Amino acid sequence: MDTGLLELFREESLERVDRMAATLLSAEADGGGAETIAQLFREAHSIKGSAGMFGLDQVGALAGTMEDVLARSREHGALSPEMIPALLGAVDAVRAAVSDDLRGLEPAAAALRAIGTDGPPAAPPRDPAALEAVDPHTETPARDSHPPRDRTLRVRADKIDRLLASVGETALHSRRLARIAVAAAPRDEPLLLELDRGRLLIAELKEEVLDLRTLPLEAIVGGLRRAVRDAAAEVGREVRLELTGTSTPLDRSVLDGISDALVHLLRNAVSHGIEAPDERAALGKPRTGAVRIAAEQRGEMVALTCHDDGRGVSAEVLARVPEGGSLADLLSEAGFSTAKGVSELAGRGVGLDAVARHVERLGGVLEVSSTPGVGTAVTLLVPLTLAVVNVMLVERGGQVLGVPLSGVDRATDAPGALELDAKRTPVADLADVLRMDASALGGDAPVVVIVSGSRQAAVECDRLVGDREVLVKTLGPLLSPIAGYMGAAILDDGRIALLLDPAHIVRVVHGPSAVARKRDVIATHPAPKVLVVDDQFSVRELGRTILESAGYRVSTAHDGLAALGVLDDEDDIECVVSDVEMPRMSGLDLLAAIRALPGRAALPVIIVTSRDDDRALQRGADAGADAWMVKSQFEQDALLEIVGRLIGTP
Amino acid sequence: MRAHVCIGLGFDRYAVAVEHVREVTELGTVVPVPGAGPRIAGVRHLRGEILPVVRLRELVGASAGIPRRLVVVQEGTRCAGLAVDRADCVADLPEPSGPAERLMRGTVLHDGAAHSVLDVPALLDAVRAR
Repeated sequence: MDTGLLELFREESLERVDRMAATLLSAEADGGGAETIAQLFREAHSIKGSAGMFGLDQVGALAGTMEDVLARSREHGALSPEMIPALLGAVDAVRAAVSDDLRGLEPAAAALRAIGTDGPPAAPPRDPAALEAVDPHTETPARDSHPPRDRTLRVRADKIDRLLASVGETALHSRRLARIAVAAAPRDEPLLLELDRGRLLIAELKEEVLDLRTLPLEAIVGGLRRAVRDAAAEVGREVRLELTGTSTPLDRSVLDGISDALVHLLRNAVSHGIEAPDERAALGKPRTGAVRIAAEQRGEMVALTCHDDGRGVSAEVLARVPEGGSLADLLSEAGFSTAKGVSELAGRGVGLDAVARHVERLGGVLEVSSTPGVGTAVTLLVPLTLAVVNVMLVERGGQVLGVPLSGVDRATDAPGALELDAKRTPVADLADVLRMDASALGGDAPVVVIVSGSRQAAVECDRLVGDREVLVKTLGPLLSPIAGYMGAAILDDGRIALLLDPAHIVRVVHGPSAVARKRDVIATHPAPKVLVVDDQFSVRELGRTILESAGYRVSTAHDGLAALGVLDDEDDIECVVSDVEMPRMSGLDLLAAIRALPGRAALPVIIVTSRDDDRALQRGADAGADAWMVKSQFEQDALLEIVGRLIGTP
Repeated sequence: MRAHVCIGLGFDRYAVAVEHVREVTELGTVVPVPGAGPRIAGVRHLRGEILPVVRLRELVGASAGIPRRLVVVQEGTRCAGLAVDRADCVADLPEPSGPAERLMRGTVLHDGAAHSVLDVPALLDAVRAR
């Protein structure tokens, strides 16, 4: 017998008897009607069935006796008050029995039978020994006299989460302590050894706690068979469900909600994939369709695949998959499924967008492959755990951000060497993707190539920090509705890194919001060039520094005449920033000269005046300056804002 | 009478019932969360937990000032830090009498000043509804 399965049976039975006890207690308070009896009957019936499967025949027999008693009271339409204690006694006996204490079973059965034969009702069914064994408040349960077995402790999930959070804090603390200790006594060998030992102990502790959160996929397959049976009955199909790889372990954070996604896929497979039995027979397929859920671990990820041998996605729909795109993306486009008629044609896609979004929130991807007439396979590729993730950390706009390594294809400080095909791998500034405020990036900012399913996108940042294993923390109910984040992590130095969802990034960069830079254009047309004209060297250099740090190329001239010379030599100048007061030719004369230049008349010109004097500004405007600014404002943000507005950012 | 934490934002005074207050601490280092909207200043790290920090001034339209303190409020599983200028006393206040309005349970007079009593569940709803 698979001990894991037995544990599951125990847990399930304990939940059932708890529910039964609660139902009986409320029936005792306000009487039990037909509904109550039906519910108790179902629970007893389920216990009888599964206990038999697990070889716990005595438990099954008691549940059967409960069933008999309940069946009789069902005929009367009411649960008589004297039955309740006997039923409660039986519930307690079942609870003790699944924890290996079988002594209560026989007395409880006898008490139940006593009601059945109209014998003395409510003979105290609770054997004192059994009571002692099952009372959760008793500190010294009688079953201590049994040899210790694999005993199960039911612990609330959030307690384990808190334990994990504490372990994470402890790890952070130990690393901080280590830094301080090493700085204070860099040669103290015994100290360094102890620090190492501490690190190892905490790592082991973390593994143990993570293991506590892990459950086999089995834990959730119960509802799947039912879903297939119901869906098949609804649409008149004959379907067989096979499950493989159900012992694959998954973290609870991932397992939560995966069940709904799988049910969704199964229902789709049955109602839209599998053909009617007669149709299958005509096609030479077995009348019974086969639907298979297969789970397998692939490195840090688990692939959950739902296969069916139905009609597959039609050739028409397959033809609509764009080049470089994927069937999964097409089918999970919001709205695809609801387009009338398409879902029938597609044989898929009903609500697949919801499944795709769910998987993406977990940092996973959806894959679909299909052959017309042969079948479809939908794969949910999800991480083994969400609690601890390896991430690539980058900096942008003064913030640290993390991308799960499973979603990182490449990362480089030398983007020139990447030779990205802008169509397949569009590039965008990470700040634009997230809509965060940050100063513009230089020309060759570090790049991270992010993959999600069949698509990829590159994002630029200020700095690559490196990869780290981090403990993922949720952003909580107030912030988790914000798209794009998987959570956050606290780094060794106490800083917070927001963790980004790779699928969201790829979608935004590919999306219509046009954050993607025309990288291929930039390659042939380097960053825009600005001409800074001022007779003071320091002002020219200030302008150069500001503009170059934002990624622009800069030329300079010391007066209007020199500026005209530069414009003559360099035909790629896209904007002129000029002082007013200069020897030989003033800024306003330069402006007038530019407006008269053939082919350059529309060149954007920004006039910088040292006098905060309306008359000078007015003259500038009359001469056709595109913008003006006062020298006292000649600082980073104002200049970049105006230049960016006129010619765009690099 | 119920115990309330008294809050100062610029010239304006507010109060939060203590049963909604988990703790009062310094504002700390707040990391912006792009996309979270103008009512969220960002998140901060508080004892192993990531805590959203709410710009209370913007949310309630209080007068100008510099936030330095954090009032950590909780309702069910929802938890947030309210960025405030001052939060230095706990006072027993009567049930608010003034009219209840958006985010406020009403107004009470305490220590010679009107204190608007914050409706924490409504406040958390308002933060989430973006």
